[in-house]
Amino acid sequence: MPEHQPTPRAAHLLQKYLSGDISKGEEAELDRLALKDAVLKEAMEGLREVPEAEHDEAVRRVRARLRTVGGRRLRPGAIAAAAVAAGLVLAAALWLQKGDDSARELAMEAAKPATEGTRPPAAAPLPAPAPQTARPEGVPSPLAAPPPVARPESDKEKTAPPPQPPVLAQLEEDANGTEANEPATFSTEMAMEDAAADAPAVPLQSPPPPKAKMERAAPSAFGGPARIQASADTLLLLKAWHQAYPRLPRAGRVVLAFEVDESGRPARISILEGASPEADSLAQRILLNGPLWSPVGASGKMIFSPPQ
Amino acid sequence: MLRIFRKAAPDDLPDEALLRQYRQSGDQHLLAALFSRHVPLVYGIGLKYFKDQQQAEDVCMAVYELLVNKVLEHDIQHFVGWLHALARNHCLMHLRKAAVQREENTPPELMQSADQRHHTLEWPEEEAQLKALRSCLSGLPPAQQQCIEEFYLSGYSYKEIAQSRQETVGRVRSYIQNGRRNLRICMEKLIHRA
Repeated sequence: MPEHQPTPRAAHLLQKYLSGDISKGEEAELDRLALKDAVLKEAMEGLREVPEAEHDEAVRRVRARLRTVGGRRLRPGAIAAAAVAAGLVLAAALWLQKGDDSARELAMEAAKPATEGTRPPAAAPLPAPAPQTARPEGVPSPLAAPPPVARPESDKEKTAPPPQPPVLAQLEEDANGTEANEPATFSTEMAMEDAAADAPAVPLQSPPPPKAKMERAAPSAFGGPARIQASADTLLLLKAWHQAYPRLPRAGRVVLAFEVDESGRPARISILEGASPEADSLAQRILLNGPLWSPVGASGKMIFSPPQ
Repeated sequence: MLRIFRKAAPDDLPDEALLRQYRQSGDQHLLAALFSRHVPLVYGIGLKYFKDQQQAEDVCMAVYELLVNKVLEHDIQHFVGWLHALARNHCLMHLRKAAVQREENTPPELMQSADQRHHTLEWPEEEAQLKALRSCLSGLPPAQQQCIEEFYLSGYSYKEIAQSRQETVGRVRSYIQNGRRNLRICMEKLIHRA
């Protein structure tokens, strides 16, 4: 059997098969394509070996891990390039600043963790934060290797504001609790609205007090969705995305769950609620290019702050 | 962020172009983007040899780690074919180490053909075939019967059936696959008797 280059149609149908969103006719077509493609045939055989598995989730996990692995290894000179790019980003941010906040602002909301009933226990008082390596001035994105950051011992973290002036997000203790040394897991709900070119980059506001349950409207840093101002590079990412995919909807909702690794970077990202493959990819990219996460806490409360 | 300033996004480039760019620049984002396109294939190959989802995911990451250096060492004409060989050899090497002997078993009934015909059998007339199908369908376990009817007769997708039954897509896929196999076995028996 010849090994052909997989066609876009085959890749599209394979993705539909993984997600389960495939009709009988499309599956028959996929099987016909597999008869001509040894690689696809072998992959289909493997997928059918374990039909009850959630293949789509597994592939998403692998892709999320790939993005994390690919992001950590920087080319030489990336820091210098990032400094130049940061200057351009700042100039673009000033150019983008105008107009009505509510209509143009891009909001990234932090939501409660996706799973109810698995809440971590009441957090023990956290140690004072370890000193963090300052980022170079004017570098809003963590393109440089992230400095070591004190890893949260508590079980719950919440989303941090984007790399603008530091904002402290005060988080509640959780009543149920998990082991103190378990990696923090939380979900970030990012509502992507229309990021027009003139979206303003407004200064951050301190989030309101935390809420007990996830609420759509109330901006809360913990226990509910919180509105986080978009950074200038996030807006640029969105603009580039819109240019690359002009036919896709300009608004969508992607819910991500992720852990924070020792360096403060999001890791093991999984998509709880996706919008489209392109939007899901963009949401993950925004998260990975966002701020580092670091815990600072005392008196049983966890406070989130980006590095100084 | 640096990708914004490039002329073409990695997603828009063909495999060979991405590979070439990676070789020139060493930018792991490019290699990750290239490999990410073909993760379903590598994952499926891992499942075929290990029959375990977690191990198949580990195969994907292990193959990617191999890819980082091997791509620079070899002159690759067709990336997917080469990747397939790399993944398969990796799986076989691990299986040999574990001294697990696995046979490649591809039951023909797992491959669905458009005309529902198997080349090793001579099917009877259509009416007798339909009669056998109805008889065998009614003999299936209820979950398999219902899922097969909804998928093939009503035209729903796996996802839609899963939502209506409040089960996972994987479970529905399993019902349909097992039901299809049971149907074929039943129909072969009826045909041989006829």
